[in-house]
Amino acid sequence: MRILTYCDVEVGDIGRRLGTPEYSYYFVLESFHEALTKFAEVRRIHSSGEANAAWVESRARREDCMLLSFAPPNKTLQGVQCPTIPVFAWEYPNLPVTTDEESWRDDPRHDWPMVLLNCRAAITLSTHTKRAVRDSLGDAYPIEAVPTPLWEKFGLMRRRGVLAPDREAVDVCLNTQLVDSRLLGLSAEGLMTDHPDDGTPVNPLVDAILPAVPAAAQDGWLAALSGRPKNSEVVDASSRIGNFPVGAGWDIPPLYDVSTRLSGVVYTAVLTPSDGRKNWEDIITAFGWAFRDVEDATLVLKLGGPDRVKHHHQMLMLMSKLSPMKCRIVALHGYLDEADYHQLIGASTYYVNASLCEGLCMPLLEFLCCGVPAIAPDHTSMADYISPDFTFVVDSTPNLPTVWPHGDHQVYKTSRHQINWHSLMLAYRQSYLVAKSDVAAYTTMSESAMAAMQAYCATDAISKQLHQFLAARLHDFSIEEDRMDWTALAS
Amino acid sequence: MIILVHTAFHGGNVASNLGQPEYSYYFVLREFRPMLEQLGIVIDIHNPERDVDVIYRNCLKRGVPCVFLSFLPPNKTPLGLACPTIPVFAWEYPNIPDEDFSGKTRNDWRRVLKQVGAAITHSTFTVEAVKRAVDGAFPIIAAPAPLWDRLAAGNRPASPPGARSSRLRVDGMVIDSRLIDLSNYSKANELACAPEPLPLPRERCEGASELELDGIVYTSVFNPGDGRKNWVDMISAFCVAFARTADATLLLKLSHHDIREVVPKMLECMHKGDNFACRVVIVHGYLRQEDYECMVDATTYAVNTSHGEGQCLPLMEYMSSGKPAISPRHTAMLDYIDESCAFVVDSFLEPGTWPHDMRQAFRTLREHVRVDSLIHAYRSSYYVAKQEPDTYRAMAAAARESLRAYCSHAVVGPRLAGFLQAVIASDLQQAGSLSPL
Repeated sequence: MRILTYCDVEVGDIGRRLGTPEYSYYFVLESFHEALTKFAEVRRIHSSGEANAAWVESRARREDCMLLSFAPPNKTLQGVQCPTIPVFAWEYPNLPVTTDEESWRDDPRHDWPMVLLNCRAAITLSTHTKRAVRDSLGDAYPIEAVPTPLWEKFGLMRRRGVLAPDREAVDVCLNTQLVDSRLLGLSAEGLMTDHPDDGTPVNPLVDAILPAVPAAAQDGWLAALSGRPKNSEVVDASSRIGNFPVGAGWDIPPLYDVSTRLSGVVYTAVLTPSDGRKNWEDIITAFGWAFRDVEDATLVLKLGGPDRVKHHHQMLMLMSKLSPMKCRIVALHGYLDEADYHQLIGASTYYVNASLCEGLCMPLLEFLCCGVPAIAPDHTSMADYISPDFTFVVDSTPNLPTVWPHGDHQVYKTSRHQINWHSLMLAYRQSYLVAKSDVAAYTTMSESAMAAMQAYCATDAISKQLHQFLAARLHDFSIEEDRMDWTALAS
Repeated sequence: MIILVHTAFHGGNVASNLGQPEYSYYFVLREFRPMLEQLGIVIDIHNPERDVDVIYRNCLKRGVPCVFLSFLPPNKTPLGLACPTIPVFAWEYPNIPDEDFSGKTRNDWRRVLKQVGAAITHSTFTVEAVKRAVDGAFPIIAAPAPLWDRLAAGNRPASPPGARSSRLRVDGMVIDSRLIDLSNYSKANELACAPEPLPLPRERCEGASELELDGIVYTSVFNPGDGRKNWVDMISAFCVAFARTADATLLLKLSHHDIREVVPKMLECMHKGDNFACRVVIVHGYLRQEDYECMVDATTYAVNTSHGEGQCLPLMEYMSSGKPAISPRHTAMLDYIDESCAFVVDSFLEPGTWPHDMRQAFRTLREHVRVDSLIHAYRSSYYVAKQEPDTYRAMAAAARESLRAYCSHAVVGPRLAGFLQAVIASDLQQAGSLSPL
């Protein structure tokens, strides 16, 4: 069997297209490569011309050949002669059709049901999407939900083991543009640019004699930790030495090797802020609210996508509105190479996701494969693998009307989820208490995560699943071809 | 008893100030007035610093009890007066302002409240918020605006919902989704026109017009410029719930003196709703008493989707008139909303800001309705209205009864009278222990 693979993104593009929707498909294709090579000869092609040349070769050799298109159906490569099967992720409960958007009317590829019917089969990355496709095309449509094979990629990381969750700190050195909330001089007062009057009168003589009132007792969620012995271990996760973080004003600091100590419980999220579905505002505000009085809680945001400076300003505003807060937020802008990314995974206590919908969420899976428990909702594609055994599950509700992300953004055509912010905030606090006071429970979560990931996304099982599905499709296609040949002969 | 009352606006200037932060205090005082007049002689004060203590001292000389009710939030309460001063205020967040932001001491309400020594608010939720912040024994009561009696009195037997149509006269502006072209109100057009707002629809009615209401009518009365009202979810969820239901009407009675900027935004929200069969009507203007009553009569359900309420006069009015509600059960609504008289909409907490805090810093929490639950409430209520008249009647009766227990003269009067007497007694005790003036 010969499998041609196609994806719209080149390895040289990665830096430039970081955080774009197609970017994830490049990594999905990479992840599937090994699973495919176990039963087929795999060749990456970059154009329909290349695909057709390979197809001709295969025909001459009497060899089965198909193209797996790692792209959403509306970006399926056109003008290809061999059978094409889209491999795609989709985070909405229904499929787009051409009539949904004005700007789509001239491109029939926006009719996903039609594209999928023409392709005669599809592979998707979650049961959620499989359901959406079958709702549209019927239960007989050949579609397979296949997890992205990520398990083996992190074997080395797993052998290193997870850090003690109640450690004092971990030192990292990352080549990045790092923004550190502690170096920004944040203040809620800084949010006012004019001085508009709130209408409250001032009379110094009267005001001076107003009685002072002691602060109310704080809600005692941290009481469980009082009197506990401390683990003062500081781990050095870095392999090199860099310079300290610098302050930032309206601009992001420059790119260099930054050494910094991440103290206490480290929460990490990897996302593109301009993708509204990622809901990074809730990730930040719930963290700041949960840990307003906690010094050793750290949120690390690995941010991608265009508009870095705009995101930086949005973050400044959110953090100012939360100030004063004792916890720390660190933002890493731009591309992290594989070694630094692994260092970040190794330094993390928990991975955080608060998305309104997900087609996949590769970083979440990667962190889980390394034994890092999560805070995440269990909706859309995450329903396939998120479990309370290793996740502080964030409550959410479906059916929030929304627009297609790739359309004209004028009319609601689909829906996503509403995240219960309070549930996210409580998950932060619960996870913090577990990390600091119940190492055994944390370890169990970490081990459960790895066991679940091995069962979910190990290459062998996925390879078999793919092989079976694609072989069956080739069989179906050849029967159709024979039928067509007979018909041609008969007429 | 002499009861001195003061608020920011009076009959002369309230119309032009609708939508200002303290606009609703005028209406609250108006509701309280008849009840206060039963407790004592009510005197309106326009200049508290000049007039309150003059009257108070006269009363003290004659042994007449005197108290000053300031219908304003604590940061605007006149301070330094000899007369016992009680702020009567609404608050819809679990944390009261406790920070001297903008460098102003009185923005820390705890200190103001401790100084005046007593307060009146409108819900158990707020009483608890104040006690948490100041002290558990702080003298504060929940006295909702006692409007039940005036509304329950007009106890006309309700006809089955949607049974007949009603006509009412409006003097102002009416925008009816059945008559206007929503396609002009796309997001693209809005952005192209920015920073100017899109113009109001050509097909709107202006001046004197007649509005016909039929089917199942969902009414909400609010100031659209007040972000706490969350009309976005109210409208979006309605258009989704009734995308294919022609005889469901959402009637939005807007109270604000200038709606030219916000109404196009509401229309853009409706445009997103994508060709819905139901009807959305926006009314902004004056209704005569009989037409206002006709509007209440024609209403099947009162709708609220707010982030929080200090009491919510419109919801209280409609429920007192025997209209069940679509509403979350949080803040003030905890006192009068439950499953027997409302289709309760679930909600969750999210970061909130104090409305008058110019920094808009995250210092408190607010509630946000779950849109899925709101859609469900709309649909269930429609079903009950159409198919279960007995259930509807029971809910209507329960709404009336629930509001009686919350805001009738019989319930609020004695509570308020007892409180005022206690404040006066404690003040006389203090005054008695001081040397004579």
